Amino acid sequence: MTGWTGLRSPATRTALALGALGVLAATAPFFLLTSSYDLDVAHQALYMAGLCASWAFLAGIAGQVSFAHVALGGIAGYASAIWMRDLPDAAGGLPVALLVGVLATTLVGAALGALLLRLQTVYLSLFTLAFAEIVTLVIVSESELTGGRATLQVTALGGDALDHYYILLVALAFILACIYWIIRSPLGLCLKSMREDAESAAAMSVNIVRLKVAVFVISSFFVGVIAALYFHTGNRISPDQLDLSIMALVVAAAVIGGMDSPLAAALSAVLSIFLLELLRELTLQDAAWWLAVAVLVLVFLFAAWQVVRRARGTDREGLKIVGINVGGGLLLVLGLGALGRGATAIDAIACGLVLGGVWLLVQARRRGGGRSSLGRLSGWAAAAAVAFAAAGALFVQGALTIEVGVWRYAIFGLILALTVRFASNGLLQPALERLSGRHAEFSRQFEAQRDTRDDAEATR
Amino acid sequence: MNLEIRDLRMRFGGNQVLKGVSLVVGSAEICGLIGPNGAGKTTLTNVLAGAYRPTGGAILLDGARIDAQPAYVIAGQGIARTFQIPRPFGRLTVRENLLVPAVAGPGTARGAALEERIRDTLRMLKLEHLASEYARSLSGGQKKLLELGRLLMLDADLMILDEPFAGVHPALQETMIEFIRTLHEQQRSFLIISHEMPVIFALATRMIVLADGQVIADGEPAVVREQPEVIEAYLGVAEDA
Repeated sequence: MTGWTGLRSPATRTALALGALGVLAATAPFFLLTSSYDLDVAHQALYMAGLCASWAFLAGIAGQVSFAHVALGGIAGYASAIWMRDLPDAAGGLPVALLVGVLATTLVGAALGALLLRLQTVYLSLFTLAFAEIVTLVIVSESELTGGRATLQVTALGGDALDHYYILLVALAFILACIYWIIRSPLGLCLKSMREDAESAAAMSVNIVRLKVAVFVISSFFVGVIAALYFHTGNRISPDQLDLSIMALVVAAAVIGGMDSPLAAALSAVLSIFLLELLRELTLQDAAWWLAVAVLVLVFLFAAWQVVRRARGTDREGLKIVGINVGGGLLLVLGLGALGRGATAIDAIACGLVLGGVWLLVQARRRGGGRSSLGRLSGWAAAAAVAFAAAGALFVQGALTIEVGVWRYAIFGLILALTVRFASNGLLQPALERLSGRHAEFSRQFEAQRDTRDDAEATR
Repeated sequence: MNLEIRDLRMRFGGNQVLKGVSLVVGSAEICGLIGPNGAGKTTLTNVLAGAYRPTGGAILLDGARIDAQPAYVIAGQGIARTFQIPRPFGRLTVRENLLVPAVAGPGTARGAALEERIRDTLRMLKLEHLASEYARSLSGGQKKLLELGRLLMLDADLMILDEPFAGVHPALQETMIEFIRTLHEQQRSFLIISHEMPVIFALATRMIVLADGQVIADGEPAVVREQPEVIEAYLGVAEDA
């Protein structure tokens, strides 16, 4: 009995899960990754996992959504490769070259952080997007130094592919350990406060300036470590490896895995890379189409299951809203449930409000009765409602506006599908082309109908 | 603690919001700051807290100028503020919200002493049962209480409260007033913006009236209440007058 009780502790379960993951990763080459091709894919997966973990740290924990990660990784690869090419006899050899790569990325990250001090949200993201493109352009145009569009020869790390696998695995474990150590420190708490509201954090004495530079330096350092090692597991580097589609895959994998969890983001990246490789081997067009549909259906079923699971596990006591009139009207809220952390704020309300009326919203409890929650849901900000609500549907003038709870997962599914489409040209491409073809057909029909209607009105 | 504001001016484009505000806030004062909408109360708050840099004048804390300092430095020096619309860290728990100013600010309490302080603050604000809840799941009034708790954790000497009583249930108002009075007894000062006239006149030891970016009255609440310019600009004329 004691053993079972021990297993219930979150710390024990986490330790066991991490231990199992570690054992699986360490032993995978003996039963899963048996060919050099498998190991090559595994190298890529570990590189992507490092990028994803570091990106989740930067964007998910600190709230700085940057698109410069892959470009920063490229800087590490090019810097160490150029160092080895131009200074082959320099002291320290390859280890020093790797350090040069890491240092170059970290310094560029620091400069980027300093440049971005006054930028927030979408402006910051756009700047990093431009930065990534500039890095690629510089590499392409400075061909004497970088080799331009052609590949640049890289001195490979010693040992074989299996050794490289373990080197990258240790690097990833190091990065994740550092990230979680930071997250659990006061610095991590301040980073999260900056993510939530930079102005409010500054009012609480959080040094936003130092923090912003620090988080770019730290995440760039992680990128430098994994990228410098990864590019030296092969023998070449080219601008193709800095493509923005790879950055899109990093973002999508982190979003699907969970941006607040660098470990989940890293796992998601590993699974995405292996999934892409598996899908690449399938070529049957019709089978691909139906498989794509099946994946989307599964995503929806998963979403529905999540909603039911959350609703079941919810405390439903003492939540009453009274005094809302039920009558025909413009706004109809059906069975909406909004969940707080372990508590239902709104539980299955059905109501209608007539336009032009003045409504008094009272509740049985003094506070926490759900008035504000209902206000947020029945406001017209659809995106906010989707983010907040757990289940239910919102109708406006009889038309379904939001079916909350489902879209959140559907959007993730869509991101996954689009990511696969853009990253591999593999399985989902024919299906999506077919989808877009149908969309075009619908658009043509709609245009034709509208033209007909306009003509009729003009005649009248 | 002595905060001196000298001829403070703030302009947004062609809109001169503060037109030379001068006042002094000393230790253990509860200053009510009232005025009609658009008088510049919230702008004054933002300038004092370092969110805006003034276009003229000076702010001195214990004789040293602070008007060019960023917000986090001013907060660290003991001037902290709440927001008109509460802005707690939504995806942090109530406890973590209180922890942020404690670890980022000048306070040195760590470990068990810090946990004890958090527990005391939660008890004072009657939020113990919500310690592990995400701040975003709190009601509007509870968020305002949490913001007060963050100021206490920051150990601020001057607490600037922007509309703390607006839209808050009377029972929560009582908790807030009790909180303010307790801290006032500990020699802390408050600058409270409010439109809740009965509450602010009962609570404040001094009343400042701002209208059209200028201080039009400054003194004891009972005296300020009777000043003709205050009545004209803000309080209005009684029907039987």
